[in-house]
Amino acid sequence: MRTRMRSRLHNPFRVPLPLLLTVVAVILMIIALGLTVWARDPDGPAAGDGTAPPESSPGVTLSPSERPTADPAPSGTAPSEESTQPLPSESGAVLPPEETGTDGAEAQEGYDFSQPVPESEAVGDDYFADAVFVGDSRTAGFMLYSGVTGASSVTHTGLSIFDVQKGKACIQVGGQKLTLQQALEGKEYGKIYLCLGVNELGYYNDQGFYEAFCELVTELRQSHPESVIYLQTLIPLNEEVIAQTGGRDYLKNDHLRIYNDLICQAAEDCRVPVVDVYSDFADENGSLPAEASNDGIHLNRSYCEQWLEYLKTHTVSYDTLYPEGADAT
Amino acid sequence: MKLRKLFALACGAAMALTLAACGGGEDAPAMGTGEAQVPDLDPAAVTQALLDSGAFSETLETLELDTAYQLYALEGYGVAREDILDGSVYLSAGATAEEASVLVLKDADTAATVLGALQAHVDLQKESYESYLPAEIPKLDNARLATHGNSVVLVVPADSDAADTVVDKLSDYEAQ
Repeated sequence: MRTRMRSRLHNPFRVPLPLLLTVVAVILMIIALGLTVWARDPDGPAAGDGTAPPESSPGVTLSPSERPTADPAPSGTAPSEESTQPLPSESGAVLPPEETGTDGAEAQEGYDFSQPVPESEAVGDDYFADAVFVGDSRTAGFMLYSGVTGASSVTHTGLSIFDVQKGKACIQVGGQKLTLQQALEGKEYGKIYLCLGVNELGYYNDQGFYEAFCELVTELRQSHPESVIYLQTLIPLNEEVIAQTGGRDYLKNDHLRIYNDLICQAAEDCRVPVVDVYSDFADENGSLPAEASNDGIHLNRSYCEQWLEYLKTHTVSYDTLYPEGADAT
Repeated sequence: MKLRKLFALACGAAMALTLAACGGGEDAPAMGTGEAQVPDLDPAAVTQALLDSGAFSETLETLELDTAYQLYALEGYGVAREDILDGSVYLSAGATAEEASVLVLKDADTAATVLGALQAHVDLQKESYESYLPAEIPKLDNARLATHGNSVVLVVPADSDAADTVVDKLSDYEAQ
């Protein structure tokens, strides 16, 4: 019995046992190596951020290398003049940035400030009870004709971001003239809707516009840390009606779309949401329909109502934006 | 003598009775407030007449009275929303400074207060449009402000002559 067993152990496959054991060990090592390589594969499902990218027509954003920065830059020059990148397309809408780097990775973990606020279920009229609308004559018209109820407003005909930057006291409040910051000071708002840019088109200072805009948004985030600060892209103009009614010749949609890109950039850089109101009004030519306005600039009643309806269907909660509370950066 | 005294007493009594008759009563109008008896205007009729007169260069938008109350900042003048009994307001959507506003107030004092508020509104508009749209300043300079009983009228017209065809004949638009 012992002899037979020894024979089977020594030669089950008619090869020496040490050689057999070596081959088995090599096979096991190869299998282990393969498992290690497979476990390190970076490909996998992307983390959802809870915000679906909005449907938008194709457009072009300035690449990171040519985007305006917070550092002082020569005034009077538009970012597009300093680069070889193509100008934004006629639609003027914003595409996701091509290179996100670490910012893209961070965006995947929370709200993506590089994208406009996506469409959502319409809020009720009471949503605006703790809102304040800040802007120029277009916003003044919105307050009069949109049907919005309960909201406050801080507006001035002809208001520009440069007036705000200079601390111009032009906001009429109870018989006094205040700066924009003074008019908002000491009051708590759940939402601040900001719409400025049309009056600034005539300054031809795009970099200055961007810097002043960022400066204001940063100030508002510090003074009103619990507010959702909505930036709004500029509603397009109707250049033909403007020309027919003797309007200013600097009011051009091509330039307006550059400003919209700058507003979107400011939203991303300052970590506030941007509502792409432009997209709801631009026709196939990127223009405001002629019937929307008597002067190509200020909306008639029905279009102010359309503006409000768009805002109602594009909201985002504070907790979604800043899940860890007020962001001091 | 007796007759003279009696005659003097009779004259004095007559004079006293005459003064009592001039003392006023419930139906007698108070001094200086004869306008309180002037009928209120029909705001819609007035604004429609203004719109039809060619006084404006563009189509104006109608404004709800609640919004007009805020626009004119009447609360700051001590006027309550309920003090506006009726009204019709038309404004430009922003292209011009043109507007037409007819408000019927609860009494003459309130109407006088609102008249002042509307004048202040015109002054503020001038300040706003001075640098924004200077071409609108002449319209504001030619603004028409008038009262008719407890009603107040403000017109900022493109054509002041056309506006005057209505403003100068407000009695034609009294409420029935």
